[in-house]
Amino acid sequence: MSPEVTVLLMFIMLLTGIFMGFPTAFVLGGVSVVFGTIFMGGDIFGLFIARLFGLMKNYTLLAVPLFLFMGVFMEKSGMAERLFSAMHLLWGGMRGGLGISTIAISAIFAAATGVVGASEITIGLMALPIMLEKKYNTSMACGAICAGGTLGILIPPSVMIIIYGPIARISVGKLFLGTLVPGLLLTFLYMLYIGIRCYLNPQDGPPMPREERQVSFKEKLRILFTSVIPPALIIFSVLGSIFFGIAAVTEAAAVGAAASMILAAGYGRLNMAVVREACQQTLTITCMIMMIAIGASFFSTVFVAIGGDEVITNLFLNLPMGKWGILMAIMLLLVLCGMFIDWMGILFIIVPLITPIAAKLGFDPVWFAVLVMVNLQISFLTPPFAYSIFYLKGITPPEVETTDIYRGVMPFVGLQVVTIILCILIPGIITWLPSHFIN
Amino acid sequence: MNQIQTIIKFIDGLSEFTGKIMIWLVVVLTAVIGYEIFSRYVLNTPTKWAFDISYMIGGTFFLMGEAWTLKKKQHVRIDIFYNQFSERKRAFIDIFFYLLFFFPLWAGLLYALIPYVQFSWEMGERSMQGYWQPILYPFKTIMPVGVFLLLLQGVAEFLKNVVIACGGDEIQ
Repeated sequence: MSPEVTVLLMFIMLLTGIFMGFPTAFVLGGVSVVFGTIFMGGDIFGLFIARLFGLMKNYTLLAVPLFLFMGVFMEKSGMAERLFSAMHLLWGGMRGGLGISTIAISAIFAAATGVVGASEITIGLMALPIMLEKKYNTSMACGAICAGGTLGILIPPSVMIIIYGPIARISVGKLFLGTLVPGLLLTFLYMLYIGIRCYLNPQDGPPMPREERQVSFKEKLRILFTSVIPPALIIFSVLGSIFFGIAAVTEAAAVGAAASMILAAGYGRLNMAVVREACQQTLTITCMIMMIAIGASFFSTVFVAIGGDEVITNLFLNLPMGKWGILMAIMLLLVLCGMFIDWMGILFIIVPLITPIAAKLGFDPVWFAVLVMVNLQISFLTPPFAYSIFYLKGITPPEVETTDIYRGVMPFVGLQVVTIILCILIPGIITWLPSHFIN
Repeated sequence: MNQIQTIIKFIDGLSEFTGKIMIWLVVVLTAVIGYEIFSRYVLNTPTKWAFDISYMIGGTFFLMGEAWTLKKKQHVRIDIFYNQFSERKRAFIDIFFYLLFFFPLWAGLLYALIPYVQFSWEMGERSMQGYWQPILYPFKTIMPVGVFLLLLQGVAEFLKNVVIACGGDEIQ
């Protein structure tokens, strides 16, 4: 059997398994065991053991449970409620102010948690009822929560970046720096969009009446010091110690976890039940992610052994469209995959295949990696398989139609595409920070 | 039928028991790395052992938790079609894929792991990384134990699906 045919059969089996609904991790592992034993016999298990042990010994990946742990405490500390009322005062008087503050909190929360689900639900539960009550445009409100929540996976520290680093063999610190500006750019564009839209159509986001936001200067200072500064301090110290090379990513994550525990204690939300719950959630999500990592590393072992990586590389490099055309093809492929597969599947299956292609085409590895991660934002918002929409659907009141949410996320998907194009036209958006901080 | 239920309940209980102990390792991990940072920057005496102990805790944490995660059905599925199938159809799909994908992989891995770990014990294998160079065989033993627990939970999930496929109710 030629490698081309084998690759095709492997992908057919993989996609069949995934779309029949068997857990992705076990499909990846299963396909590798089937093809591995056909082509290499029982020896394949020796290679699998080496890969499994490699994952268990990986020091960088330890940052995954630690950042998850930090995120759960941030979420349970009640920080979101405090931030929301602070932002309320800050932006409330503007048209669309609640939408803008939703995005602002999402960005801060994104830096504090590093995943999408929990932060989106926490923010959605606070922001959506208020926005609906204040007669905000329903679909815009839903879109803002989905798009804002999705930032969690992009703005560092994020679990996606920690996993991306080892897969593409790039330093996680560099990727953190690379994603920072695009993440903030997206945040800014989202806010700008809501601001302009509501300025032009005030009925989409009416400003809050003056009496509801009349607070003394002293009170404002108190809110600033108790609700904005403590979490901001934690986030800056975690990211700062990574950016300035003081601590490894894993160490910074441990400090962040300890600090967020102290924050929760300071807000009076820390007790045994909360700690147990946090540990449990951390275990479950870590196990889920690591199982996909195991399955995918088995898959790539077999895939490389049968020469699959060369088949895919040649397939792309032989496209008759030049360097930039191939980049466009890769970006479109990611969007297409994102409609059907979750980000972890894409990360573990597709990224190992496209990273060498980008290297052969002469693209900067950090720039390309960040571009892919910005692109993966789209996968959260595009149906039929859109995580962010699922999360929001779980908490919306019955009068919000699913079509409202779908309509609401579309402008934000547009802004994500704009950001990708900007990052391609002005590569400095991604590369400037990493090249000035870490050598 | 009753015997099958007993087996399932026993395995579920075992996975849950192990998982509920393992969850605390993340606190230990935070403490170990926190202590290392403290002794490096404040006491100026970095520990020899923190690096090795951390990855050992981390590796144990996730591998030993996989069985419970499977029991709680937390491994992600792409369920756009799956959710539209009837309960029995879903059970048949799972049975098919457990037989094709799950059991060959994890049973095969367990079978290969036993001599691998046995060899490590006989060699008295030590880590070649870092300065501490701790013994590795206890940590390597986590692999067959974790894989065994996962395989066992797979058997329980498989049996649950068989019960549904035969027209019974789901066993919680």
